[in-house]
Amino acid sequence: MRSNLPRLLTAILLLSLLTGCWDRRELNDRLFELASGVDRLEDGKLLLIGQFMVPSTSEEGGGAKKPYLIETGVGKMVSECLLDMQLKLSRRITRGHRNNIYFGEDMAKAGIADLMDSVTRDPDSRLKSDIWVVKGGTALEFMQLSYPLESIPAIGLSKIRHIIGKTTGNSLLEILVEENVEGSGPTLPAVEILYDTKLRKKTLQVYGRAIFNRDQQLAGYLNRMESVYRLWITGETDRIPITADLPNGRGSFNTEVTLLHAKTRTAVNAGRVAIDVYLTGSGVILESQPAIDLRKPDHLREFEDIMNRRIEKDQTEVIRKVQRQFKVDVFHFGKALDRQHPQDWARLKAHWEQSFSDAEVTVHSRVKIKRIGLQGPPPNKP
Amino acid sequence: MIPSRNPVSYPRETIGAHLSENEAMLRQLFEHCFDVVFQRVDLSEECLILMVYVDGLIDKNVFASPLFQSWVAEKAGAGGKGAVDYPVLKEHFAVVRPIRNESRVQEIVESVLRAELAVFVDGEPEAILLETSGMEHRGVEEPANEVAIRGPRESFTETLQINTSLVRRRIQTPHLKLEPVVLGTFSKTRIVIAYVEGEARPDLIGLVKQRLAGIQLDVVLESGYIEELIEDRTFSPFPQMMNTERPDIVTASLMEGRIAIMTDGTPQVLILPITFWTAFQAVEDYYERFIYATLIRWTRFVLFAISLYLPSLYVAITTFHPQLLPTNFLQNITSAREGVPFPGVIEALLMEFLFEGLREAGVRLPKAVGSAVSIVGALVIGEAAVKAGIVSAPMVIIVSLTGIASFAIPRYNMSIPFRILRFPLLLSSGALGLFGIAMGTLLILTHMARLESFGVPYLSPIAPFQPDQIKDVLIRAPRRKINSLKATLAGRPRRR
Amino acid sequence: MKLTNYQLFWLLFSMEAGMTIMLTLGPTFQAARQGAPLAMLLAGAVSLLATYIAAKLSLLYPEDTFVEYVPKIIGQWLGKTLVFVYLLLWIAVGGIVLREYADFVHMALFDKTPLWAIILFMLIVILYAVHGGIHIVARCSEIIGPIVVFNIILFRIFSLKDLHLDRLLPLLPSDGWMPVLSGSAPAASYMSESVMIVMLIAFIGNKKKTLSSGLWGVGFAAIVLLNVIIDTMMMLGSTVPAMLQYPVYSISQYISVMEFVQNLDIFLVVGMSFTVFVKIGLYLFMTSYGTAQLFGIRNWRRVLWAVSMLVLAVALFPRNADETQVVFPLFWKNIVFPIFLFAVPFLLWMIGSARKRMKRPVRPHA
Repeated sequence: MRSNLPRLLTAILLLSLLTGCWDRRELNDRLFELASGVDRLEDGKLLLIGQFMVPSTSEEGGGAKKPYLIETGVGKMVSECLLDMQLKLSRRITRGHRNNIYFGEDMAKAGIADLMDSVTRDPDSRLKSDIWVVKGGTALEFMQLSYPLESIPAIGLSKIRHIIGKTTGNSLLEILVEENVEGSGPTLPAVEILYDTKLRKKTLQVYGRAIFNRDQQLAGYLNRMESVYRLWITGETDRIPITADLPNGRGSFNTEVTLLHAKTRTAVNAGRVAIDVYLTGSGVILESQPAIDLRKPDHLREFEDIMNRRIEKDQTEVIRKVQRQFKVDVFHFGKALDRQHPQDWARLKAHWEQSFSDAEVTVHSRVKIKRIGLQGPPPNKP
Repeated sequence: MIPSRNPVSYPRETIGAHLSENEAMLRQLFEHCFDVVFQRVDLSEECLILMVYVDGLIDKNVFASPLFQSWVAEKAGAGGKGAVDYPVLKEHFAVVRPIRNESRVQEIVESVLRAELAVFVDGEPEAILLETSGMEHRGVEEPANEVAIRGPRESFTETLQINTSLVRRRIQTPHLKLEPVVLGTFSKTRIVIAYVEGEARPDLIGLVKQRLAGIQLDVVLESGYIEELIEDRTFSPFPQMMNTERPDIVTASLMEGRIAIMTDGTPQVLILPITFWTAFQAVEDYYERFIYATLIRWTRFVLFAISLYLPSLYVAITTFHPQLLPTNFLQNITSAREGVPFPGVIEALLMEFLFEGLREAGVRLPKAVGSAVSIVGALVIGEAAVKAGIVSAPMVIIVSLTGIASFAIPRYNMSIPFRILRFPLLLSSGALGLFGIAMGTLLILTHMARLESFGVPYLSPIAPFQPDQIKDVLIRAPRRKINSLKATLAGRPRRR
Repeated sequence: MKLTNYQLFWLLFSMEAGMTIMLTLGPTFQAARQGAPLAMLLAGAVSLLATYIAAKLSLLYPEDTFVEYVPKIIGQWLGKTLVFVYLLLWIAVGGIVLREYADFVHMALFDKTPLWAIILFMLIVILYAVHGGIHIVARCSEIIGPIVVFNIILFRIFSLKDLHLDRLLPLLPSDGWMPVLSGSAPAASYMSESVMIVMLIAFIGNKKKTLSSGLWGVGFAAIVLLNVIIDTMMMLGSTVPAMLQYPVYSISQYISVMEFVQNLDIFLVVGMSFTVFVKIGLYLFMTSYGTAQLFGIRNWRRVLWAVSMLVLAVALFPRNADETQVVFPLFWKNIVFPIFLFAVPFLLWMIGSARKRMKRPVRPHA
């Protein structure tokens, strides 16, 4: 009987543990935040905007109620804003499903360095999030946009990102990594609010990339083509559409290049960095205006050549723009140098921004056209 | 050991020579037993023959047999004097029926109750006992509970002889031993310990006999009486023996070195020792081809996990860790739960309880009403409750999935522990979320690791790991492989 | 209470893998940066060496536990004192591991649930297993170990698409080998806890392959750790994990498959619970059995209650995560690791084998 006492005690203990449901919270006592936005107010305070999922009550709804709710909170720090917001809400804010975070342009210009901690310290908020910069607008404006295709606008943006071939949810992690790599320029995807004058409606559109300097302040934007060119070098995209013109006004053609690959070769000559970028891929002709039969190898080779020159020119321009305007290395050239010439890197890394801006970058494009589609010349131009 | 209550007291040890005295004594013993027949054969004034038997238990054809009649006539003709003429009777009769003489009262009484015919002759201090059992019994039918698509359609019956014959027909070797034991001071139930010599471990046989010998019971109506008294641990939800009504399962188990305990009066035969993994082995696994058998066994594993965990996982995820749900899914579930008055745990407990109730009602009710109950249950719970917003639709789905999954475990008595354990798991998940489930799982695992069935660890051959026996646990290996496994094991002492 | 070599393998593996994965990755990255995988490799090698020494030592007296043979090697009083110190250490580390685990669970899953509830719940579950004997813990580990391995493989597969090979290079940090060396210390000090086999080998039935299965258990855990640290590095680079408290936890939050399988961090917590169960189970058994042997108490199960109370007290003692995750590991790394996990077993082995070689009959008292 002696051995029964501990058992009894244990049973009682277990039972008493079971009665205390400390952390239990029903789904209906939670409010799921799907996106949040941060804006900078004039007085330097933060405005936190939350986009919450509102559950539809049974089937009678019929679209009368909006499936989401927007609430704001003001404060000096993000957590203060959160508290401010919670005081307006009857259900507990749960951030486990937040996939998108928007920074207003003013916020981004003022610097995002102090915001990142609030995103990553809380175990409830997830690392797999996308952070967007709202080009030319505030996060509040952007979040008030309604998006007809998805019940909640934030889901729509994630899906767009998926469609254009980017990994969803990696931009938070990427910027964290970039911020910590010496010489690297952190970047974030950018969206803009578009007023379509023909359809007379406001809608959202993915713009390109927002570039930050080493102080994590917004330095400028790359538009969509520039961003894709950048991603080609960093190896984060798998397709790029190239439009090239034939000389003498003979017309244009469009190629979609897939299987993108880029190699960076670095060299240091007398303190000056020389960078060679080799781009490869395989193209498919999507559209061709000139009356040229692409089934003839000579013509195809000419097209290929024109396209490659075009790529080289555009890519060089993008790199030049970054070198001149933003002066931050968003192409991972520093990393390549570190791998290829560690001693030089050790010497250059302290003032890499300058070295990068002065670097001589040459782009070599060797894209092959693999397919021409269903016809040789355009069907109506024999 | 509790002494059996109210033992029969016999007025005397042996019977006397006077028939009338014997008759009076027996009539007193069998007072108010209308089924005991005292049939006097008064052929002449002096000689009396008394036949005592239980009506319905004996084969009455014996009276009509010419041998018997001629013997009675001869006996009567001899004037009742002189020794009872056994040789004659034996010579002719023993060919067909066993016969013996007995003078002890207790033995005579018990024999009569065991369906023997007792014949007393006046002046003889001994009675003749004839085994003439002719009780009505059920024939061999299709198994009612353990259905298999492929395989024999025989099942055990309530009669021990038929059951042993079903096994004997499948194992035709003198190595198949069927040792009789009688249990129950009142019921005198015959029990047979069956094993195959050379396959079953001798120490195991000894252990079973020893445990059976320690049993003191008045009545044994079902093998369950024995099971509970000889199992290793009573305070465990897990059965440590398997019961079956299929002779093929018994045969296969015997050939694997297990021991079967057959009880007269019930078609359920106990098989021991078993392990946890027995729960997932169905007969058909061995009749169907191995790929299908392995796949279906894995299906059972998954269904088993569902039947144990699904409700508690649902509760843990929705009330503790909603971040595990994909956003779209979350939207649906939240919407469905909107307006439901109960907390998740209570809702789940309620529904599980109702489901168990429906199941119980379905089992107990007459067949004709049973279907009505299930229809009403499905309608009331599935439709009306959800419509009324008392229960959320996902919960109904969860509970019915769990129910279906729990039926997929081939051994009924092995599905019981999981039905029981579902409730504590539900409680702990309601209190501590997935951490509670993890702790509950660890407790269950530890309990199973501690459990042994007749010296065999419950989780073996996975833990402790026995690589040579693993081929029939997680997979059902091709028969060639299993057979070679059998061959390497032959003659080994430690095997089942 | 008998163990098989196979059980020893899983016991050591489960004990080594869980907490080490969770707790040592951060410090390793902090010190070794880009050289973290190398540091982990080194740590694995060091812990293998420690295990080898400990196993060799106890194979000198294959039928005795540590408590029994240490007095035979260095004399009754000295030996008993030394054993006592070891028992205290083991109780302390058992309690601290329990606390570290509870802190982690609390951070990951809970908010209002009190810490003692987690600790108590876990301790009761472990007690139930240990009360059955070491073979029960071993049987559990035989189930748990493969499940943990399966999970790790699953994580590996799920994370494949998020890996950036380029983040792995260069393998050696620019400032040379020193950071790698210091970075290997946290993991090595954790993994060298496998020295506990000095208490386990006495229970193993067939000792022919004990050494190799012990080394395999530790080695396999080291391989898993290496795999995880490479995974972490390819996802997060080498600077971000240095700032995180539980890098693997963050990674598991990041993994997402088809937008449906996501936020796997909770399963990580569950897997951790399983391995911690084995680890603390081992410590509880060793300390209570050892104490019973040391003081000549016949029923070790009664000592178990006292020891578990002590462990509970140790677990509840620290004020915050800082004391358990910074102060104690520092003490463990700088004092216990070099002295008690390396020097002492090594010396004992030397003395013991010298004694054996001299063929001096071992006297019961000296």
